[in-house]
Amino acid sequence: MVLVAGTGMTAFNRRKDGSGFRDWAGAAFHESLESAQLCRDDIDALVVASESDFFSMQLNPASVLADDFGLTGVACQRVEGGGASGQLAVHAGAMMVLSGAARHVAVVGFEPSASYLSGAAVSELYGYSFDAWTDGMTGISATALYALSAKVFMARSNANQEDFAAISVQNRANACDNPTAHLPLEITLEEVVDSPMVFDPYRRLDCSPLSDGAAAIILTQPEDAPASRRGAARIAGIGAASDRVRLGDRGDPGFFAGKQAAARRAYAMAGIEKPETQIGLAEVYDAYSGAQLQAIEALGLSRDYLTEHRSGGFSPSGRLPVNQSGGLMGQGAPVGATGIAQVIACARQIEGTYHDGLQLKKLPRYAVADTHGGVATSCAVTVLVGAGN
Amino acid sequence: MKHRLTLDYTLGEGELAPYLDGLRRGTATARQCRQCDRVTFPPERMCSCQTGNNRVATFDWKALDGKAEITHRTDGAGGAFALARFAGADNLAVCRIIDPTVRGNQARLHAADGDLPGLAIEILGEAIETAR
Repeated sequence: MVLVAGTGMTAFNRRKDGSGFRDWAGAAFHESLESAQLCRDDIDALVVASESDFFSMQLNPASVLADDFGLTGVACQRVEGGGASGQLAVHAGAMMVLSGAARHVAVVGFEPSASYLSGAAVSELYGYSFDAWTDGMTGISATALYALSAKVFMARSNANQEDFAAISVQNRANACDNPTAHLPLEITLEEVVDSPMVFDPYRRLDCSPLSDGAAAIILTQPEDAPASRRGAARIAGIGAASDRVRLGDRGDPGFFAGKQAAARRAYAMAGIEKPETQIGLAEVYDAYSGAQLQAIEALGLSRDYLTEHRSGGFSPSGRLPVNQSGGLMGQGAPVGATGIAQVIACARQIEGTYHDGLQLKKLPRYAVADTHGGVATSCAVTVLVGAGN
Repeated sequence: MKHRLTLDYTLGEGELAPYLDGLRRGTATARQCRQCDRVTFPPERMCSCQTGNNRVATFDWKALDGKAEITHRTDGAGGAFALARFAGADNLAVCRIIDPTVRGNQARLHAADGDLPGLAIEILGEAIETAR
């Protein structure tokens, strides 16, 4: 197994202080290095996650950050998979460690999604995250594509708009105890369903924000970590899979089949046979409120996800807390950093060092982090486990 | 620091050229797999019947009549979009709805405009008053 020896992240928000992504990435990297109790010279590989050069105005960002971090000479690469970029970078780093290609790998994700370009420009660029030649050239937005997927899901599952709104309320409430969160809000169901329509069924408060920020982790074999960090959380399983890129080519455009395949691979590697009972925490990709329910379904986290959702089973006090961090909707979504931040939340929860007010009293044995790019087209799932397991 | 970047792409249409030509003319040009007869609009580049082997799928172009049935629709401030099945096609298509004030499930292909060369449909129905 691969040890998450160190973690670091900046606040996720819209920067108004004139700082840039190289500042945020550096801060996250140095925090993770300090947390791992390692030196810069110990790092022999850097994996960088960033979704789009259009956002950062920087091609080949891995070499730039290696230079910024004082890591000249290390192997460096950039990983990109849309919204899944962060976790795919974690997977690349884990494989480097497992293969013996590197002893200590820094995985750093960033995205200046909020302050560099206008929201309209970012939305237009996101429209090309899908099949740009067909879907993208209709002028459709990410929200509209997710909305179409959600409508198919709602018709099949009987989930309704209030089910979705309850997720928005819960994730924003969770974010209130997360000092790194972009949108900590105490809102009501009514405020969500009365917020301005973006594309039905999604209203403004059903959508995750565009955020700036960075996150970093240090991966190593347990025996290569300082003795004081050998009890940290481990990556027990990684899995990735893709789905048909166009919704219209899928058997069920409302079902995240790629996510299901990715999860099954991660569970198999981790030795998890019954995720619905063995997983104690889930950080899932709630780009939109309904996508959280679609994710819970595809990840196999509940035998009856709708009933369990309505009865509070995925709340902080429920059977399986989901998006305790606030998720993308509450914590925020600087794309390249998002998946890494999910892994950080899971690792710190397992270690018992998460934020006051959000730390689970019963430490989860297993936690799952889930991201995707497109409408669950490029999917990446990571299973973390405590040291004693 | 302010910086402005303007990009003007010329995209190679390659093997999708007949499909895109059709959209510009307002005609539905689909692809049919020679091995399994599956018809796709928008066209697929690889047919699922070839998943289990190393052969490259081969296709013929097939004209559809351009009529479509909307299965799901979403409306918003940026317009209206639908998942629709074109008559004779085995897959669904994401389409822009030309006039969002018109309701109904039956539609037909509309010629694409220069700025939005993707699939567009007009609904065969009557316009309704909306709050927007």
